[in-house]
Amino acid sequence: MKPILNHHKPKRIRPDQVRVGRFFSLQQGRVGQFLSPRVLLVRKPFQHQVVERCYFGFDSLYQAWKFTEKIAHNGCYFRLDRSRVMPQRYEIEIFNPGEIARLLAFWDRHEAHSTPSDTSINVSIVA
Amino acid sequence: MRFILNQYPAAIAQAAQAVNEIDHRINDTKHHLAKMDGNAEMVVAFDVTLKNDNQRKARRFEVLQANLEYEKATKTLNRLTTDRANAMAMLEQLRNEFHVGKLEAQTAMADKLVGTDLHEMVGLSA
Repeated sequence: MKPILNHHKPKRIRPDQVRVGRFFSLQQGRVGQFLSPRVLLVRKPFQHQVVERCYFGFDSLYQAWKFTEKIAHNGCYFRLDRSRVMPQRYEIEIFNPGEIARLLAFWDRHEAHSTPSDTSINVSIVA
Repeated sequence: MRFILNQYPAAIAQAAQAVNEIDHRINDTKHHLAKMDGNAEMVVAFDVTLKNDNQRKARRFEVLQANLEYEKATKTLNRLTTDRANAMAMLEQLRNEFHVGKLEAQTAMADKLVGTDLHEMVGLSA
């Protein structure tokens, strides 16, 4: 994936640019990694104290807003805004997300991989 | 096992301390479970494909079931609840034994005093 070349703020990433698992530069010492199509983890690895931020993407403002209720309940610091980085329309930025990012990404990937045949009940009748 | 009367306060304090320790561990476990519940709620809220409450409940159950720590914590909580009940029973037993011991000592003292009085009445005391 090509690095984003804006020095001041990163460009919004297009959906076709999302490569889950790959590291890429976000400039200013920041390294990004999509853990799932809707979860982006951003680190500043070359600082004394590793700074982590996480971006969650939402296409609907209502869904993003409902999600903020849960993360507020968990005591996380966050920011909800129109997307600056994520390919979805809205993004929630969480500061020092800890294990939350990995947990949500795991279930997001799980959902993405589950095909309709996984979720439906297959019934076979033996004559 | 019965103690001497003056050993009971220390034994009761120790039993009460054991109950407090178990309470502390129960609170820790409940806190841990609540955190995992919160995480499951967050996973459900993050999944935009879920359409209704039944689907959300099913996903929440799936998330919790996939978490081995959750099952372990649930078992720990059950065990600690039983331990607490046993520790409380032990504490109550010690308190009751202490109470009975005090009554027995009072009775013995009263018997002794009554005996002394009777002895005086019949002129047996020196």
